[in-house]
Amino acid sequence: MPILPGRRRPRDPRLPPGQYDAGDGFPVLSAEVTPRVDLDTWSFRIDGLVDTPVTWTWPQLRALPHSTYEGDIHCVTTWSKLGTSFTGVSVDTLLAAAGVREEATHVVAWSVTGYTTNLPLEHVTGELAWVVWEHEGRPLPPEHGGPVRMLVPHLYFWKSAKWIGGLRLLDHDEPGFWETRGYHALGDPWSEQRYDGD
Amino acid sequence: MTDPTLPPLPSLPALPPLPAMGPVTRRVPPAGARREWQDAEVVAVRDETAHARTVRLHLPPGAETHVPGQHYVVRMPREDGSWAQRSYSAASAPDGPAERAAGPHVELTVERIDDGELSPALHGVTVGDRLSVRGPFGGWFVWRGDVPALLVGGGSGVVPLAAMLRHRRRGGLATPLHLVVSVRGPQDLFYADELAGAPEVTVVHTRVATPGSARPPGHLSAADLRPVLASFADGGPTCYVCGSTGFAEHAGQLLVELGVPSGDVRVERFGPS
Repeated sequence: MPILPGRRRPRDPRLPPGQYDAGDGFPVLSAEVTPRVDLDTWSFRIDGLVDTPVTWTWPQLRALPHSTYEGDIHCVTTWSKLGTSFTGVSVDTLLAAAGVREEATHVVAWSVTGYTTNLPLEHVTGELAWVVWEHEGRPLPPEHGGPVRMLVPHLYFWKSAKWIGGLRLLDHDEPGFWETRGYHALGDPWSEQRYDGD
Repeated sequence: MTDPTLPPLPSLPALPPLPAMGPVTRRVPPAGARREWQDAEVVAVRDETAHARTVRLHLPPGAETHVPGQHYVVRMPREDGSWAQRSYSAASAPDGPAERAAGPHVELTVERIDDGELSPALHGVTVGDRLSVRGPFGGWFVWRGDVPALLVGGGSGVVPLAAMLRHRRRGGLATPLHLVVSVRGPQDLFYADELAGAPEVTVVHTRVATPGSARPPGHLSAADLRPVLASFADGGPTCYVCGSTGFAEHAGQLLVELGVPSGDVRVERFGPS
């Protein structure tokens, strides 16, 4: 088998196994045509196993307390983007407004395109997930999921649904678009959970 | 898991259904279905253009064959013991059951990225070398030959689309299919002996036209796609768009502007890996 030379530079400890540093790049990967989302009619909804389903319009969402994630993101296609930032509202804030019922264990994040992805509830609470509209201080571009996307940076980036429409709380795991098409149910980059059964 | 003795939850049936992109064709087995790394032998190499080379691999007997559009992950060890890995789409038609028993073949076409890590090494492999591969992967950008398909590829984005076209030819399928491929010039067309001049293929040149061509060089346009779309009879095709981010955004928007429902367009974007 051919052997590659060792790396020219020491490996950045922020890189999970099998990932490379995309540097200033921010590759685009999505399975569908980039939609044109109209913020005048767009809304974000939390429903399912909550005390009160809540829908926010764009101005209502923007009026919530903001926070900024500063850190790294990791795509299953092996690029990572280190030291980047996104601004939006914490999913904890949104869930608190709706009131999570005791029996809820998982969420499905869904997009206006029909894209879905599943997440255990404990992976979107405790300051682990956001609904974001800014990347490095600028409005999030459409090809990167703008105007508004999910951000779950500790998991592979297909979990951070672009063009987010809402979260549904469930009492069971409901595999989403990629999870029913060969990709891992959770997607932890530090365990290289790329594909089924990894 | 919900306790079956409990009454049904009152709020859930009243919820609107979530949106979906296409039917779910496969459910993950509860135990998972891990595809392991496999040892493959290089049985042929061939240049497609000055920058792209096809590597033909023989997989172990019993290995799964791909569906056109799927990809494999190739890894190579580094001197320091770590691995470099990248995904490459299958370019060949899937083997039939007879070949599968003795080990299926798959061809991967690799575009050389000069400052890349894996692609220059893959351009250096020779017949008899062994490679570590995993796959096939992908359950969305696939074509099984069952629905009319319009394939739109830019540059090396033609690779998974070639697998679809070759699958149709090899199987003698009657399902309507047309490939539109956009390249800088004639020298940049992969699989030129199979694609150039073929009735089910339209080649668009963006910079350098074929001498005598009526179409001046230029980016893929609605005028290129409109007659192809019109050639599909009732229903309209499922569209498969593959290329760089810029190409995929452009081609996808053109199709939607021409009236293709966005739900009928499947996109695969190539990152700079």
